[in-house]
Amino acid sequence: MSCPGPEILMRAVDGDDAEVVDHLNECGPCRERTARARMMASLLREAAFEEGVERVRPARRRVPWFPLAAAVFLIGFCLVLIVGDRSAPPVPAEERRPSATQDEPADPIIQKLGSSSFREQGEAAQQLEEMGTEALSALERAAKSENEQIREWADKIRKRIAETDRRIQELIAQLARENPEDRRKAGDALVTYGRRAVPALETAAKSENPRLRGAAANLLALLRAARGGGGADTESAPIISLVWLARHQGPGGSWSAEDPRCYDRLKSQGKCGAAPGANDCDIGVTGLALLAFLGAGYSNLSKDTYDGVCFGEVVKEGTQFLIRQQGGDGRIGGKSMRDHFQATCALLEAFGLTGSKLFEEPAKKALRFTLNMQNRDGGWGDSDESGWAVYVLFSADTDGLAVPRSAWDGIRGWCERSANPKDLKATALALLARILSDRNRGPKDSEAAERLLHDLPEPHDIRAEYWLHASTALYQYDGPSGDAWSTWSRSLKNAVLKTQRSDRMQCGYGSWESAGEGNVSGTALNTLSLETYYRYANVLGAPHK
Amino acid sequence: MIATRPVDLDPKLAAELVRAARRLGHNPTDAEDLAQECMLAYARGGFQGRSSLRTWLYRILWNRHVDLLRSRHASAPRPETISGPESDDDVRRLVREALGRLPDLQRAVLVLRYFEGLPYAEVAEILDRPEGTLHADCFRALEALYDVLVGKHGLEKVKEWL
Repeated sequence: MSCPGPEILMRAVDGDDAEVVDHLNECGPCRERTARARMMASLLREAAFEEGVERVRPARRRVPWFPLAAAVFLIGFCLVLIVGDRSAPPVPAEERRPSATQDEPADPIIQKLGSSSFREQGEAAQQLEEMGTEALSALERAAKSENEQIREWADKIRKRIAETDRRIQELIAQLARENPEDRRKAGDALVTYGRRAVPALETAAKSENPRLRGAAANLLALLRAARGGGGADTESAPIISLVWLARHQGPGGSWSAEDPRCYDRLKSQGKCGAAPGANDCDIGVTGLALLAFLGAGYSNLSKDTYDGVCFGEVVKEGTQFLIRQQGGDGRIGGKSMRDHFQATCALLEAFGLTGSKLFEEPAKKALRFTLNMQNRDGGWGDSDESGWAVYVLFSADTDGLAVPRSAWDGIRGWCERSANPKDLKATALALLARILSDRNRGPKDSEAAERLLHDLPEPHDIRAEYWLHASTALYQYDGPSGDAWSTWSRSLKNAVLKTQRSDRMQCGYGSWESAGEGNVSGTALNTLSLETYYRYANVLGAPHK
Repeated sequence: MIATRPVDLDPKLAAELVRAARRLGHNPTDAEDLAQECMLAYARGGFQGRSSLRTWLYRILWNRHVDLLRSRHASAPRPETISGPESDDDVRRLVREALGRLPDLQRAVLVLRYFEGLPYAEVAEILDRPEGTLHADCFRALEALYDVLVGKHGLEKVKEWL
């Protein structure tokens, strides 16, 4: 009888091919080969287990846990109301309090260590190790168990927990080091420990050392997002914010800055408690809200529907509103240049995304007006206005529309002259203007980036517009893989995800409020910040179009 | 303008991609870049739904990994270790070192099967191999790993690790 090939022997290694067993009983070389492969497979499983690798299962259909849980809760609640008073005698307080051993969530898992199934033992050991210090008291008891198998496992797991804790503490100490490369390595290593690192990181996040405190807070946010805290696992932050924006778009296609209302197309309409922003800037916030959709890739042609709203319709109505506001000279809106720039950006990006003639002429007219309005000093008024002009030039350049060299030189010079080390928004805009204009970076840019990194986003201090300018500038500075962008991006994600309203039962779900900017503006700006890394490519070294 | 679809990937999937890239032997920066390329491919609307999203992303990761290896100079040193939590003297480090010495395909088979925990059918789809061949690849990879480990540390030592 000929020997089976490696394909069949592999099935024997996995233990699910009974046919080959007879052959292995008779054939020494095949038996030996299979035993070697089995030994290596066990070793790899052990190494993967030691690294705390969560087994990845094939994709499953998502179970609608929330409605199920709500239904179970309601049924249970009703049963308690119906049956509870009649059948259940009052339980003395002493009995209601569970005993120390019953209360331990680790106890039922410890019993599985005594199972005859290796798989069950391994899974139980992994769960206990992941519980870390929470499982220690139960493990101490298990170490005195009469069952030898449980005793051995308990000892082994306690040693592993102690070793892991020691290692985590070492890595946390490295987070405070001066060398950013050391800090990055320690952060990467800590993330691989998953929830085991959370208690130690929570302590570190309260440290007096600002470097350690910041790094620990960022890592906690990453770990919580990866574990699914706050809904970040099931729905992305940009999508739910776009749904919020869509629900607050007015009937004419615009968004109201000073009087935001919920115009839910499925539910009731009306005031919803959204915070108002500045007066008379509906055109600007409409431009910003549209940019958030366009930045995520939704155009007037998109058919994607979320929560009953078609995003393509939202963009279509919004862009039509802006085009209706455009005067014969190309200006969009009548008062503020900032409104005009934000609206122009939206039309330019809509044109870039679709190439549609619907947007071509309005976008070109708005660009021509912008260029004509550039002052002799190279700017367009104050830093708020000139800052948004930088985005207009960038969008136009990305679309391949002609932007004269003089316009770039002018705004670059103006930003440099008006940059003030204390004004970080202006610093970010100057950095952005220099890089976009020159397509390279120099020592001044490194200084500016360093200054921005001294004021990382913090959840308690939302400054959405500054965050957007700094995100765009730092991504152009060394994104997507440089240290500055990585550091900024971690803090940004932490701050933005933490502050996004997460109560599904409230109308504000998915939105942000930024001091003085109102909900519509704050939500659009934060969404744009989150979209930074895929909105534009890094332009360093690339020629102007 | 890059995006034509939103990037709304489960952050857990993105983390898995980075981890898998590191286990394929890339430094953290390259691993991040590779994972980001996968996400950008998704953002550009490349996913057609012909396989599971995870399989599709891992397949892109593997293809980019192969492209990257080809684009480097033949004389460039191969990575010798597979990234993971740092530890000083335990089995994990030695196993990672040994994996680093295997040919790319064998290393990928073992990483995807044992460290990422993917079923054979999915690994076969990712690496574009028939499933039967993949079983054979896996067996040969385990044998090669045995040769490396036992060759370097001796059979008795390796047995002690189990």
